Amino acid sequence: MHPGEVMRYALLAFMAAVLLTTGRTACEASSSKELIEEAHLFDGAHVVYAGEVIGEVLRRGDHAWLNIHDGTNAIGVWVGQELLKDVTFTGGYKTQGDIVHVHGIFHRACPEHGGALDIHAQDLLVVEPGRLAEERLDNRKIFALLVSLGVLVCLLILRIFLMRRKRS
Amino acid sequence: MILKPQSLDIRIILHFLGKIVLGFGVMMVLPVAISLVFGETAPVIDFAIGLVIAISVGIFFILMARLDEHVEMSWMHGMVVVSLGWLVCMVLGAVPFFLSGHWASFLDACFESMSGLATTGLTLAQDLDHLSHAANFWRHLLMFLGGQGIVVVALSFLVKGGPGAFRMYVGEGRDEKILPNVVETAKFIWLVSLVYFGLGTLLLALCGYFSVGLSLREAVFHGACIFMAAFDTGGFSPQSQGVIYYQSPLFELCTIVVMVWGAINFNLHYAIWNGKRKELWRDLETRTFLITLSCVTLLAAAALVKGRVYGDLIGLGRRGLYQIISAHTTTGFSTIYPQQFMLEWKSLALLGIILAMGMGASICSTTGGIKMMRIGLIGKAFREDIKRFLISDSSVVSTKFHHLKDLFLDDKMVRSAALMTIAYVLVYLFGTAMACFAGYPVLESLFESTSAAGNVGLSCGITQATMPAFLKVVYIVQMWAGRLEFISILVLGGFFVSCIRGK
Repeated sequence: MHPGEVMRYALLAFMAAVLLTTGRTACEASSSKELIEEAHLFDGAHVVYAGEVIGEVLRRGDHAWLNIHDGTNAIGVWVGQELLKDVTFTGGYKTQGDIVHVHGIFHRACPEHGGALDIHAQDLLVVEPGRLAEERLDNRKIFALLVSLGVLVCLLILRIFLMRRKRS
Repeated sequence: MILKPQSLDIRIILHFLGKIVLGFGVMMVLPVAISLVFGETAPVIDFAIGLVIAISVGIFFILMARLDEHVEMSWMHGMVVVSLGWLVCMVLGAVPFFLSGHWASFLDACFESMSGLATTGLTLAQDLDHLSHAANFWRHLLMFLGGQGIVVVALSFLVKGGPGAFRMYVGEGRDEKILPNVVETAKFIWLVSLVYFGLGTLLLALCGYFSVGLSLREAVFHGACIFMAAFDTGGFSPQSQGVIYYQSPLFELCTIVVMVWGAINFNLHYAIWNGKRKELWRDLETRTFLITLSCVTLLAAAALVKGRVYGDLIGLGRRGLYQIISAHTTTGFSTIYPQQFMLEWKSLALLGIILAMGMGASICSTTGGIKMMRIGLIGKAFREDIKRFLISDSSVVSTKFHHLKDLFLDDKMVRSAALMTIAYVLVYLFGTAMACFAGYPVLESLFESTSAAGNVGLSCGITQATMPAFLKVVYIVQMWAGRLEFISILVLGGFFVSCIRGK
């Protein structure tokens, strides 16, 4: 079996175990909207949160902050260095970040991090590796640039013509 | 009888409008350079199109004006040029945004452009975390240009000094000259801003690199962007989470320093540059700011502590006080999510933050809102009136205050301050009514309206790409009116009326 698949099954088993042992945790990943809007309900609970790693991995000693965007909001996830080894791509203009599933404890106002709304990760799985995003040039834009350049040149010629006529 | 504007009036307006647009358009070279530094190809095309269109429009206006001899501007010309100039720059600044594909419509791109120019910070960008560095830089540069004033840009490089230049300068919402010559004033504003830009970017980049954990290149980029947004009390941020992204108390502290520094009157910066540091503490604006900041902080803190919203003092400082300072300086940086304002903050705390947003900071700075000088003058006038009742009828009561020099309070000053305060309150209420009409609750509507018209940029969640188009237009008008302080916009309205009904 591929190591990635082993990890995936392990995470599924883990999530099932979490579901059985805690009453407040959803098996499906919670959305950022739910976590923010129902923060009081989720406060201190084990949650599973999924999304794209965006920005950069912000390393702080033996931990790091990962900002994970689920399509609506990004939430900061406090991750131990040992969980970061599989994270290779973070989302930006030229990259699509890794899609990760995080299991951890959610805090509405984290006492360790100055009242931040965050998740302290206990497990992290890269479910879809990121990639370099291809930059495509739109031919219509190049055409629009050429047309507008043509207009600008015409206006400049007209300006020069009017200035010369005035002088003469 | 209303007089119809003559063709010469329109030619004068077009001529100076053309110059402002030219000055603005040339600034698009900077994001092109950023694209090249970060190896981004597609944004080069977007900004090249924007640049060429802006320069073409500028030259077209100048050609149409055919104004070869030097003509002095009247107050009407100055005001119309400024108010129209801001609208034209909004549209031209929106072109690269729209072409990037990160804004759902051209109206959304215009909203972003006006939000940047007016140093508001409300955003309708979609998938901001994948936006190019160039477009992100342009968002922040718009704040830097709008904060110092796009007319100030034109005055510095393209317009000769004189009474006409001063009229445009005043039209852009600035009441005071720093130096006797308005062009020298504009150049001084740029000198101060660029020196602070260098220092502030260095500070934030070092903090970003060592404390936040950003890579060196990103630390410099974020440092520059955050500086422009903080010093110009704008509030945009390169990432969708805003300041939350950095997860660093030191970085937050640095942004507080820059925000407060940016909220100070440029005249006080000038005094500080000339070694008169005591001016900062003697000035009516600074004192009023400290008093109002203490009051709104107390209000918010009392509510947040009572409601046990944040567990400890650090949490209260980083999630409570930070929002209050950000609101009072009209910056709009936030360390909490927009929804948390309504869901977690108590009514009293919301009242505190709405008051802070509405009051704003200094005149002749990049902040929005009613402004401290006006609040201070009204406060002094109240005190004087109460004093009159307390002392004998034969006594003469006079009130002295310090703003750059010792001044005596007079009725004209108080009337002007009160009128502007009333105008701001009416605009806040107008936006509230419009949002209520769109179906939003009244408190949310008041919050968002005050944020837009006060050029703050904090949001409680109303400002989204999905909100009704008419509300986007209302907020654009509020941001525009709030930044220019109404007069030039009212004159523009009068100008159009006289074009139609004049004889």
